[in-house]
Order: sequence, then C-alpha cells, then structure tokens
Amino acid sequence: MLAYVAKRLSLAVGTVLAAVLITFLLVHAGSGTPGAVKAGPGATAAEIAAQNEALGWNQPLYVQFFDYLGHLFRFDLGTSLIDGRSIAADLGDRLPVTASIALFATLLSAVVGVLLGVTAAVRGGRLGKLITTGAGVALSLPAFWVGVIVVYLLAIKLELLPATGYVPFSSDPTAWFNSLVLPVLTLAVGGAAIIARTAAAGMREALGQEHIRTLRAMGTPEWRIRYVHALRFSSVPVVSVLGIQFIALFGGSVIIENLFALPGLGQAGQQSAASHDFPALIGVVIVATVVVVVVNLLLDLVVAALDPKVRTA
Amino acid sequence: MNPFRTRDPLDLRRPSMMRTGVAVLAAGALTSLAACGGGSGGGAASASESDTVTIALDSDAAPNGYDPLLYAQGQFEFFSAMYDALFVTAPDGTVTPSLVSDFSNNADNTQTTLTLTDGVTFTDGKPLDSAVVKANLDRRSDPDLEAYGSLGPGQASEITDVSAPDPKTVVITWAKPQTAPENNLVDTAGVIVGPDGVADPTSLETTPDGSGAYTLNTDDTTRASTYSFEKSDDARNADDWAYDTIVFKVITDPQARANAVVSGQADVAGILDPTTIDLVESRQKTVSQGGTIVGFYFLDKTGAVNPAFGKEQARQAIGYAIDREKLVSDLHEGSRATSQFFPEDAPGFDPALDEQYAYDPDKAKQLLAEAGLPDGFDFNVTVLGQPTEDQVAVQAQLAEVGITMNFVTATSTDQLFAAVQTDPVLFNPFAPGAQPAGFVAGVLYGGFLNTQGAKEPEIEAALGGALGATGDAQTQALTDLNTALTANAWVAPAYEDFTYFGYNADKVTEPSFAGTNNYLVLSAIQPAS
Repeated sequence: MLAYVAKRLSLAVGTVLAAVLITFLLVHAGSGTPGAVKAGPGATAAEIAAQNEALGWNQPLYVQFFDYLGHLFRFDLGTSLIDGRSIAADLGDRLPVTASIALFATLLSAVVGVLLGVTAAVRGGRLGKLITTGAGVALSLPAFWVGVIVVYLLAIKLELLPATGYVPFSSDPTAWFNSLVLPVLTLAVGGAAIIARTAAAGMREALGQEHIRTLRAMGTPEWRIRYVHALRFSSVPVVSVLGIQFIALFGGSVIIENLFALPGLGQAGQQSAASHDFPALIGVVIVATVVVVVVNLLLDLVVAALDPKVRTA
Repeated sequence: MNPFRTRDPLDLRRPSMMRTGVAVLAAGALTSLAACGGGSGGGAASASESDTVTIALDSDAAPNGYDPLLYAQGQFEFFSAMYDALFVTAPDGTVTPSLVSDFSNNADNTQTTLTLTDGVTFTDGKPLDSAVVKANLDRRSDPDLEAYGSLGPGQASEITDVSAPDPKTVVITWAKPQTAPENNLVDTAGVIVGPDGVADPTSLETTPDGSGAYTLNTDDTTRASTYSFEKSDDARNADDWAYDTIVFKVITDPQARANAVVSGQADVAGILDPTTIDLVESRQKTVSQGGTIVGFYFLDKTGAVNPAFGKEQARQAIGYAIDREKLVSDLHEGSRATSQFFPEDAPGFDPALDEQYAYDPDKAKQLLAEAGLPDGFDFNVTVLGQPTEDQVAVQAQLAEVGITMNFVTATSTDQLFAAVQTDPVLFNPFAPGAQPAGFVAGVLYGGFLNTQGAKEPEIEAALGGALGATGDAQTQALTDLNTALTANAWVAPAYEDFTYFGYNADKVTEPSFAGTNNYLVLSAIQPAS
C-alpha cells in the first residue's frame, strides 16, 4: 500500500507542476503583457515597457518560471495587477466557499444517489423504473435552471432560505449553513442522478455475482448480503464517479456562484480573466488544480482500500 | 461457524455509520430550516439589520481599487461613503457645496474661487487644505482618471491652472467660459483624495484615503463581491448618514439581483434588468430614472469612411427604417420609443420630434433613392463579443429597406474604442444628463462623436445660444438645438432607456437619484419609519 501511495503522490505532484507549466506558458503565449494591464488603458508604450521591466516580464522564460515556482513553494502567489491585493489571501477567502459547496453537494449526491440507486436495484419493479427514469430526467436538467426553480420555490415563494449571498461560518454557523443549502441542492440534483444510476447498475451486477449466490446458499441474512457485501462490491464505481462529480461540481461553480452571488473561486477566475489579471488567473488555476488533484488522490486511496486489486494493478 | 462469514469490523460498522450520518445530516437540515423559518426570507443570512443597509450592485464598483478618480460619475453612489467631493448632486439635481464652504465665479465664468470647509480630516489623518485640492486636480492630465475626463487638456471643461493662494482658498482657471463651472467639480469629478493617497496613488489600490463618513471594513470585505463600510462617529458629516454600516453586494446575475431584493438579502438593488421588474414589483417596490438615449450616433457625417453617411438623406433613411415601438415592446418593456436626443425630463425636450421619424420603410426607401442609393448600402459596426439583441433587431429592420449592417468583432476594448475612427456609426447608449447642451458641446459636436470635425451651422448656432443664454431663452435655444440635431440626422435614437432600482419599502424609504443622473444619492437612503 505504501508503494501505491508513493506512486499516486508523485503523480499528483507531477500533475500540479504540469498544470503550473501549461498555465504559465499559455499566459505568455497571449498577446497581452502584465505591464499593459498594470499601467492602465491610457499608458504609453514607454510606460508599459517600464512596467514590464519592473515585473520581470522581459527576463528569459525559464528564469521567470523558476522564479514563479520558487514563490509558489513559499505559498506566495504574488499580487494582483489590478488592485495590488495578495492573491493568496484573496483565494484563501474564496476557496472555502467553492470547496464547501462542491463538497456538500458531492456528499448529498452520494447519500441520496446511493439510497435511490440501491433501492432501485433491490426493489426493482415500478419503483425501480420510476427511480431510473427520474434520474434520467434529473440528469438532463441544467444546473442554472434547477437553481432558478429552487430559488423561486424555497426562497421567493416559501421564504425558507436566502436566495443569494454567503455568510462565513465564523460569522454565524446557522446562517452559513442556510446560505449553502440552495446552491448545494442545485448542484446535488444532477450529481445524485448520476450516482443513483451508477449505484443501481453496480448493485444489480453485485447481486448477480457468484459469491453473493454462495452467501445466500450459506444462509447469510439478506440484509447483510445486500447492504454489506453487495454494497461494498458496488461502491468502487460509485466512489470513482464521486471523484469525477466533485471535479465537475468544482469546475461548474462559476454558474452557481453567479446565480447565488457567492464569492468563490469561479467568480475570481471569471473576473481575473476578464481583467487580464495574469497572476490572479494563474493563482485560480493552480488552486483549483491542487484541490482537484488532492481530491483525486484521496479517492484513489479510498478505492485502493476498498478494492485490493487496484493496489496491485 | 460459517467459514464464509468473515467478520471484517467495518462490515459491522458501516450500516450503522451510514444511518448515523444520515440522521445527523437530516437533524442539521431540520434544525437549520427551523431556525430560519417564519417567513424571514433567510433569517440570519439577511444583512438587513436595523443599523445596516445592504445594496446590491450589478457590477463591481471598485474593480481597479479605491482611487475614485479612476471611475465615472455613477460610481459616486459607491465612493461617496468613503470620499467627499467639492460639490455633490442633491436629489433635486442642484449642485451643492460639500468640501466647499463658499465659492464664486468671475464675470465670464473662466475662473472659480473656492473656499474650503473647515474641520475635514482624511483617513490618513491629515487635514483638508488647498494644497491637497490642487494636488488632486493636478492629476487631471492622467488619461486613466476617468473622473477627470472632461477636465484634462483639450477637453470641453479643460482646467488650465489650479493655484492655492492660501491654505483655505483654491483658484481654478478654465480654458474657456463654462456655463456653470461648479458643475464640473461635482460628485466623482470633485472627489478629493487625501494627501497620502495623492502622493502615492498605488496605495489606493488597497487602501482608501478619503474624508467621507465611512471607512472600509477590510475584514468583512471580499473584493468584487462584498464591500462593507463602517461609519466613523467622529466624521465631520456623520449625522447626515442614517446607517452605521453600509454593505454593497456585487450580484452580476440579473435574476439573482432581483431575487436578493425580493427575498430580503438586499434592501436596495440596482440596476435591475427590465425582465425582472415585474418580479420585484410583485413583492417590493421600484424607482426609475430615464435619461439614457440608445440608438445610432453618426460618426462619419463627412462620408470619409463610408460615403453613404455623408448624405443626410441616407442617415435620415436609417431613422425612418427603425421600428422603435416594436423594439420597445419586444425587448425593452418600460422604455420609451423616441427619435430625439434629449431625454423626456431634460430642458429642450419636444414631444413633436418623436413623430418626425415615425416608422416608415417606404419613406426610408424614397430617401435612399433621393440620395442616389436606390439599392441601399452596407456599413460596419464593431462589437465586443456578440452583438446585442438591439443591434440584431435593428439589423433586421434596416435590411428591410436595403441597408446592410455588418458586425465586426473586436477582440479587445482598445479595438472597440478605436472603432470610432473607422466605423461610420455607433449604436450605443448615451446619457446627456441634466445639461444636454454640455454633452452636445463636449461629446456630440465637440468631442469623440465628431472626431472628423463635421460642421452644421444650424446646430452650431443653436448650441451657442444654449450655452450662452439663461432662463426661457436657454430653454428655447435647447429646443432649437434638439430640433437641429434631429432634423440634420446627427443621431437616430431608438428609445430612452430607464434605470430601475428595487427597494424594500419596509426597510428603506424610496431611494433618490442624483438629479437626472441614473445613480442614487447614497446619503439619501434612509430607514423606513
């Protein structure tokens, strides 16, 4: 297992470094320069050149890259070209917003999806078809549309929850929870549908396995066969899908953050791209990449723990 | 013992762990829902406490930091919490001294003398004096300072000199006579940044330096998302402001912005998208302000770029080819179809002018034939990204009379701005303001909408009269100016757009606009009684 962990860890570090390099090169491949952004729209060519010189833009690319990496290893993402704020501090404020939405949406998707999927597989019949069909419909609903509907029903009509905004946990835990419910619900609808279909398929396959038939023949109680042995068998694909779900939810946060006016990473990425704030944009990409890679790593380890074959593959 | 029943400890724990987890989640959700129940619209998540006013904005008010001079007049709605200005626009539209206790203009309105208010201190701890006012106004040639757009070299309200004869007196010399010089120093254009901020403008990227009643609460502020201001009780004008805390929330999504005011997360929200006005009015109230004229502004009146535009009949044909009523009913409910440049509330507005270019495609074709263009003509309009719904709709209407409007996609805002030199026409919104003659002099006739320097004696004569006269004579001159602009087809407006703000009448009184401007007077927002 240790060798497996080491292998996955080195791959994760390599992925992050590759993402940093690609983002760095993409930014440098563009026609704009940070000096032009920093100097403002009315700047002369000489002022822009001076700013580029001061920012080190004219140094060889490899020097700039290793300089950037050096700062990165010290958790220094630099400062915004637009307003001089610390990018690390800004993203540090925003990461919990996006991460908590994606994490809770993934958890809710998992709980609801597994419950529905297992029920569909175990009960079968009309209920099973209803769940499968419902999951298909839920999968086809765009998240922004679901968001508009849940806001209208739960915030506007029933006045149960806030329609927009985010309250930090440190300010008011209850308000924090309330501010997350609608975005999480919105994202979880599609996620739960995917998990339900995956769990149902996995469970059906598991229940047809030879070792399950043998367990039945040995007189093992049915609940134990279903909810211990078969569920464990079907959990590997579910966990894999959960990982993909988390990444998709994390990446799809731009729309949800706009819809619910949440100060998250998606909003920061959108803004830094629009304002050509190169350091901020690279910072967003790196933070998002690190989160995705770490989550993937953790899920790989979970899958490996659930399925020994994975460790030896 | 059954050899197949391996007793993996996890096997036993998992079902119970799952049940426990679900129970905890469910309990948490129920507790939370109960805590916010009772129709509170979000309960504790709402920032609308009695001493706090929450305002939802449609865009980031400080995308480039806290130097107010970087921004246009409308940003004063936001910056007036932190910064004072020499003069401010009152809700009734009058220009009122703020950092000025007294002022006077010389006989020909070429020199203004200001006496500064006593007891004003900036965030940096330094007092207001004439040196800091001069230091601010001496930044006017910086092209990045949008607030000084009309005060810089070569501009309509150019300042040629600022002197500080004593600590309390500032003398401003204008390049040419101004109708009302003090109007050039109002709101954002008149904001005074503290000495430290002026000395090091980059410090303003993160640290405001104003003398306003509020200071930025950096702990509760997330750039581009939430800005929180706390009132300083020792501020000079603290009593003029009702709230201890002002929170601005940036909500760019139109539906979310409307939802915020409907469900109580915001006390005031604007600018509302027209499609959300019904929703807001179903639960809360709205207040609106006209004054923005959307339509064609002809740049190439000499025909240097596209010869067709040098012919008055061709420009008039465009005016007749636009079905304004359809445009408004299909896309801009709440707006007003118009074919004149002056807003409904502005002096010089003439209802009869709106009939002059009533939709008449046959008339348009006839004018094109008279212009020697019986088969119509083509022209380009530069857009950033995709053309707007308006532009697409107008494109189809023009096509019906044989005029082909092509969209050229700009890849940057620089390219878009440069298009005023290469496109024959702009399709844009412009707000002439309370003094349309100033806008005509500085932008439409003497500014960037006429970089070719086209001349029209009728317009020039009327403009001279409007700038030089007062009272009824000025109103008549403004009407003449409006008529001349319409008749000579220097513009082909489509509709007058209205700016809507939503507000929660249970929490705040009706917000007031700054005169005819489409931004609010922040200090005038008061708690509902």
